[in-house]
Amino acid sequence: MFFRRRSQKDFNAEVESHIALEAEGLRSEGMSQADAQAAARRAFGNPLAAQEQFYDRTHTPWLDQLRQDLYYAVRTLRRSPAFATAAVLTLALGIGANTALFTIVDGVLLRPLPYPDPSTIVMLYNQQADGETGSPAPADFLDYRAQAHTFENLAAYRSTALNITGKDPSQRVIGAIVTPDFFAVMKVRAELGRTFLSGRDRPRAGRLIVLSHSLWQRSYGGDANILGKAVDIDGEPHTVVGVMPRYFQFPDQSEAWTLSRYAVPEHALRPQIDQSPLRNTHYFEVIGRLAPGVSLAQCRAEANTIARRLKQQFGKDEEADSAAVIRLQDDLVGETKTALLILLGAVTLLLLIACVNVANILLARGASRQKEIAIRGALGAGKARIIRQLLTESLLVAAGGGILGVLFAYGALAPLRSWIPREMLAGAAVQLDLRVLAFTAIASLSCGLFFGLFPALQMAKSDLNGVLKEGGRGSTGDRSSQRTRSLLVVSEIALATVLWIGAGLLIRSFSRVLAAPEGFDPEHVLTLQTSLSQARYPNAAKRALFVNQSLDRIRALPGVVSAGVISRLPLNRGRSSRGLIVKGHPLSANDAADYLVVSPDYFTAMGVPLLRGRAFTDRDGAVLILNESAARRFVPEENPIGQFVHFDDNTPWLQVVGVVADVRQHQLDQSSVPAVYVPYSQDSWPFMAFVVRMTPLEPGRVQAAIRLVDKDQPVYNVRPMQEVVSGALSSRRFGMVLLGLFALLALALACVGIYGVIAYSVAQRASEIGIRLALGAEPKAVVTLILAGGFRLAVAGVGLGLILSIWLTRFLENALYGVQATDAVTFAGSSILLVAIAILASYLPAWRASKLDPANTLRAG
Amino acid sequence: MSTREEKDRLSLLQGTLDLLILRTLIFGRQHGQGIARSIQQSSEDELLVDHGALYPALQRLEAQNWIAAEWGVSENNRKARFYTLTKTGRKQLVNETDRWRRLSTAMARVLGTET
Repeated sequence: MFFRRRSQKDFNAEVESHIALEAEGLRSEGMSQADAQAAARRAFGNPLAAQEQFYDRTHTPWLDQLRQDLYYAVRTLRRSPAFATAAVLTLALGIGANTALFTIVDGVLLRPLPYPDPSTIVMLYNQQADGETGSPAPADFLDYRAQAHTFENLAAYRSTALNITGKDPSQRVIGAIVTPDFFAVMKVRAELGRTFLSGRDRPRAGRLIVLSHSLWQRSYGGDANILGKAVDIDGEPHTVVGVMPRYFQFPDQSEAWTLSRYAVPEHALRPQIDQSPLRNTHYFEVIGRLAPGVSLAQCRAEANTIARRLKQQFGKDEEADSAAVIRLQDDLVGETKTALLILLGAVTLLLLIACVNVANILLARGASRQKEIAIRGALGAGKARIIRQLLTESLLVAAGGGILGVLFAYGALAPLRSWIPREMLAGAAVQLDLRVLAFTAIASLSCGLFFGLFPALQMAKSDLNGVLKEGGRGSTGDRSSQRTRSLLVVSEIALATVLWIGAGLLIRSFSRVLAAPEGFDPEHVLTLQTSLSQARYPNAAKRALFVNQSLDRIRALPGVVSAGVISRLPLNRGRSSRGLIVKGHPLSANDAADYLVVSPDYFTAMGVPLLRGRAFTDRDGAVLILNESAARRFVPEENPIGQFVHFDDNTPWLQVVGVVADVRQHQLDQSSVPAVYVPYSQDSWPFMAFVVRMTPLEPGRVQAAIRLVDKDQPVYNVRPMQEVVSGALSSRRFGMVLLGLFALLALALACVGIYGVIAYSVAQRASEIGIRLALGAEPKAVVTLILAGGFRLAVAGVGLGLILSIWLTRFLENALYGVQATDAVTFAGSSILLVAIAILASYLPAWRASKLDPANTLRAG
Repeated sequence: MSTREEKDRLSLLQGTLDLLILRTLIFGRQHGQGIARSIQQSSEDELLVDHGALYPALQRLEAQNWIAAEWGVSENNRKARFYTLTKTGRKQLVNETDRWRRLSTAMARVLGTET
């Protein structure tokens, strides 16, 4: 019905006017005034019935009843503010935690990437027989590009740091060296100018650069005439051809994209050499766009066919056994997914506990409201109507909890956003928006239904007569309601147990990671990174000179104990590895070791213990140092010192002079891998990290010392080593702390739940306890009796929780370090904790029971 | 004016009241009581219009936009709600009348001529 709503008054007026008109008509036909009135009314029938009909027609009764129910619910809740507050707060905690976490999950896992048709962007990897994936070699990439039909486009890129020189001070930005197809794969157009064009921008056609919106704004003031201007990158002029839209920062928050001189991105160490023909070097990523209508499976199949063909064709020289094609979104999200899903699971458990708690409070309240319900029933309210009334009440509570929860989440989001490790975010924006609000609304309503339905059914079930006859002290339904409440508490304890065990496992993993020797001493160590440009430092001698002069100046600073450089700082991304051959030992296929270039003082500066032999000196020639794992792996039963090692037939033999302790080079929770250290004088890399042991840490003075050597050389990532270490733990800490927090909340809620049930049962059994006491029972025995009740509930709950945990903790396995998913200590510890807390929560009501005055309770009974 | 006993009058078949109201309104705007009276008179008092049932029907027709209503003043200076036929109502009347004619002819054929 879609007409202007008519008021009841208007209709009533029409009825009145009808009767008056009819009476007038009858009177004019000769009836008396009174007869005419009566006849007119008779002819109309019952005006009230007509009015009611009109009412029903214009009002939807359920809406009307809803309004009544809501009004009634608000009144009831206002009359019991303690209950309302407790219920709303409990729910708000659960819903708030869920909303906050869902916001992150939504931003990171569910929201599609901001590029056109993002599900068809894929990463292409090499895969070895053992499942390890890595990036394809240059020649492989070119073969794939030439042979594959399932890709619309295939491009390669290498993330790198670009030094923007010629400005004061010189600046360092994160950027990428890309092949011309890169932007065609992403299908993102430039905001200003153009991107690289595969047809037109041939490699070697002069150096071109595309800027990000942020860099354009920050460094060039949003200059509208930037196109065609030259930007010096590492001293080499690049022509600006375009500026990207604000959101485009792929890969890794890039701010500039340069076009490679070759068909593949340039190699960081040998930029002047085209790597295109090589099959044994891996240093860039390959990204592709599926051709229209091609499925991921088809693409995988074709990529694998090509991989096999390459393997056949090149045999031993081809390192890949097969190919892996992974959607970009899945690739970016990677391990974060597991971590976030674990947390989401945990927070769902927390919400369940909150719901159970509220259901429990409702049941308790229900007992005291039985008389009210019975009266409503006696006055003619149907069962359905009563259930609906009670549900309206719980939905109102849920809505309150939802609204407050959103506020909680909103408040929590700012700290959460700054605290969540960046690698977990994978560049995603995290914001509370309509999608999230919709989630919260659904979650709140389901909660309201979930915790409201139980008590509502229970109450509507109760027998009216019994309740009314007993004058409101109805015991009917009490026993079953008490049973329901106990059941709820048991499940609540079970859920809390699961959360505690999960948190416990993560906490134990964390402490194991902390306890595992890092292999170095991060205290009092400052680290700084530099990347020497090819243009300004074209040869090894110049680079070595810069490093040695800088180190000399740093050493001269007061408070500096020692200073060195290393090609790759521990716990930073990226790795370089080389195959290793020991003279006189049989060749084995996959013997690779991390390859690290260090200056002589690196080991003392970083605090890496020397186990055998000696460290490097300034005059070292063809020598190298192994770490413990490498010594054990490559020269297992002999003295490694004095052995000769080389990387392949084209490199000279190097003599082992020392063995140092294993260092957690890549991740703190990864066991150490074999590594070799080569003196800086033998292989002077352009990008190096300075490692300075000093007290106190004075970054400014160290930077100033380096600037004295070359004022144009940017120094970046100036960080205490302690910070590097804690950064490497941030994901793990994040997960652990959040899960721990949820477990604590769960414990608090379970505690309240147990207390409520025990206190209620004490109130119910007051007369029984009174009789016991009157008959001479010791107060102590009463305490024991009540505590035993709590203990039974706790044991049942914990038992159930243990069974659930055995099944659930397997999902945690990937996040654990040094503990089993069924770690006995954690399981036992959590169980004891939960039982202890349960007994503690029952103690107060038990103590009160023992202090009951028998005379009073008996009289009241 | 009750010249006949009410029980002798014919009750209206379901749905016919709507048609009669529309038909009545073709002569111009009218209020509820006038419609009832007019139906009764033009059927020569054969048809009984339950005044109470008239209003739900009017509402129904109004909801369907076949008639429109506004308050006005009757010839003897009383406030009354007057109904008028709308354009779609007119069309509906034509369709319904046609349908009714066919139905009643068919009924007459089946039942045979009066003896």
